[in-house]
Amino acid sequence: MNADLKGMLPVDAVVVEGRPGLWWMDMSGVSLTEPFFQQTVERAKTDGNRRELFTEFDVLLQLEKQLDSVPPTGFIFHSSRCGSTLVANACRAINNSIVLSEANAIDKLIARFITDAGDVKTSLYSVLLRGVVNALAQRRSGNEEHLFIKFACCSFAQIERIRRIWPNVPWLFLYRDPVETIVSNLRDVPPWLLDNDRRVLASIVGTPADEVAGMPLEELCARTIGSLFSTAHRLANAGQLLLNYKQLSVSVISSVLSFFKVSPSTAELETIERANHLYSKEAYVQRTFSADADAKQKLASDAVREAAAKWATDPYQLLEQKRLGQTNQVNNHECN
Amino acid sequence: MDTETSFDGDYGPRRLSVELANICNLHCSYCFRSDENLYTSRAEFFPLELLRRVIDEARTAANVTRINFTGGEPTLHPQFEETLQTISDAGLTVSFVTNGWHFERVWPGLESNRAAVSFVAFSLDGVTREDHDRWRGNGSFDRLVRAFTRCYMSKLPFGIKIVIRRDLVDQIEQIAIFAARMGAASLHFAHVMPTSDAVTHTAVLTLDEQRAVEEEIAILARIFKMNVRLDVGYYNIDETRPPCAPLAGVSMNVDFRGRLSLCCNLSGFRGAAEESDVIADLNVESFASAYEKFTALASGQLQKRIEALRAASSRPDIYTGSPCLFCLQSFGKIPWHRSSLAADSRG
Repeated sequence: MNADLKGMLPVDAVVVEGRPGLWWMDMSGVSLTEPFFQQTVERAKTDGNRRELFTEFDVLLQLEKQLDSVPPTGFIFHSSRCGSTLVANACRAINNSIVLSEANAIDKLIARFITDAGDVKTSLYSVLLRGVVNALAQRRSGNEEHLFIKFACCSFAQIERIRRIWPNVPWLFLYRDPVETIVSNLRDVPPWLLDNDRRVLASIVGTPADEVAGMPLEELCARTIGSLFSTAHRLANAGQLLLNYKQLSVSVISSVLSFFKVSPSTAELETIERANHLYSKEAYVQRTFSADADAKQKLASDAVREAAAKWATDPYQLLEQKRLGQTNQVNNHECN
Repeated sequence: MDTETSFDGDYGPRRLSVELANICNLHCSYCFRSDENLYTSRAEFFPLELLRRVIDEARTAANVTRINFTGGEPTLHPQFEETLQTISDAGLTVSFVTNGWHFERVWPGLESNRAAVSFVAFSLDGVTREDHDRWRGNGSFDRLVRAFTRCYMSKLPFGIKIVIRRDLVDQIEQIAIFAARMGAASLHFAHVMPTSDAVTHTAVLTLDEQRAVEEEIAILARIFKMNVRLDVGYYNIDETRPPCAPLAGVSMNVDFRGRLSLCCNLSGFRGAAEESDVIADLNVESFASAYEKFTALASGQLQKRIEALRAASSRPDIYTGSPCLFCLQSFGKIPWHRSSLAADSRG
């Protein structure tokens, strides 16, 4: 392996002096235990003087030949604030698993499918995306067997391209009632809704970028999740899994693992059960999780309800119908 | 070939291209070298004694620091190792362009002169065995990949050169990915040199097609660390600076007969009617004297091109806009083109 990159992982996709590439950081001895990859990176930064460097993307094409990497076991897509982190945490409870949760290098590269469309053919970025995943999924302890990738919500818009790279990897789409999703996003506005480069959201909602810039957040959020629901409705078939937030329970999550062809041990199930009662996104403070669907509904403003009704409710209901029609281990459970 | 000019206008080190052999072991139909020289004439190899004298004089007279071996196929020179040794002994660096077929055979010689060998450029015709071997014969692709691996493992920088025929237009990105995977330090594209009406119609891109490809190459150049660029020959009507290393006076060519000429792309051109780009016979003339004539020819040709650009419309045709086509035309290398233009105007 390239000596300069020994022990390093690509932690971000960046542009340096006009050249797109990867930002690498020495992650030797750092396990990916936090709910989000970026949280792990921040922890690693605080615990010592870690080497960082920039490379162009070419290096991925060399590493691909050299690295021993874990192939993907399952993909988790979602429409934001709908329990996907809980599912990712459950995957993390499986011994010898790698969970890449919204890793910047992956999701920013996927965003380039959109922002660079017309300049670069997607085949190049597909090759590079596979290379980034290989680099992040390298066997660092030697025992890793499973690789779960939880993508950022906007990356779901590129699911067809992702599937062309990994056509046989099972994937699930998690979603939630649109009113509850919008309320959650407005209470704590995530970076994807505030991104200055509006091209990604413009592509998802199907409007010009300057129109997106002037959109109220309620509308932007509703249109985005509505579009993601429609995509899921269009593409999910018997081979994929649709999962509603309201279904989430330990038994459903263990069924999700079965869907990914992983059989958790009793000890792993106990870990999942413990994690299921904790707030999923906090890395260090173990706050007890409580279902908040009713609370979110009560908090919804008229603007939220109007936006949801106009842009997201119909595709949500269509998706629900499709989910209820799915005959698989998860959706045969009546949960919650 | 050694006439590249990057998009940022770096002409590279002062250098001399030396054609080590007139012959080639492969038969690529789009090649611009005279097929008579390549395949039917008696094999001629650049004499070692002349090589020693020329590089010694070129270093003094023209401050040359790099020798680039071309051909024909340079590795067919029976004393290829000694040619490398000659450059090494002179304290210069050497690179060469090869089809890679004989790379295993010449490898020990490269290893012996590793300090002097700065770069190897390989010609490629496709990124799959099937595509490449269709042009270059069975087994060619495998030999090439073995040669890439040799270089990569030995940390000898190597590059890939590929001529953009019409059938490759949709593969530009795949070619870049392949080159990066192989560990190439550079990937240089070049437009097809038109050697006949038939080649023009089957392989040469139209101006619009060329521009689309050039844009794609420029984008790839921003993405890859590997040096991706288009060798000179692209449409370039900037008259504020020389369009290529020969017209900048930085790169010269010596043909297999030992004659100094303006540019390796013009030398021994297939179907040429004239040889007015040949400046001096170094067998009988000193390099210093020949170099003066070279400088005069290069600056004269540069001026001629500037005048042609000024006389042309705001969008000169490709035979004026492309520096290579302009020189091919003005040095009488493509007589068939004038005939076909005349036929077009009559028709």
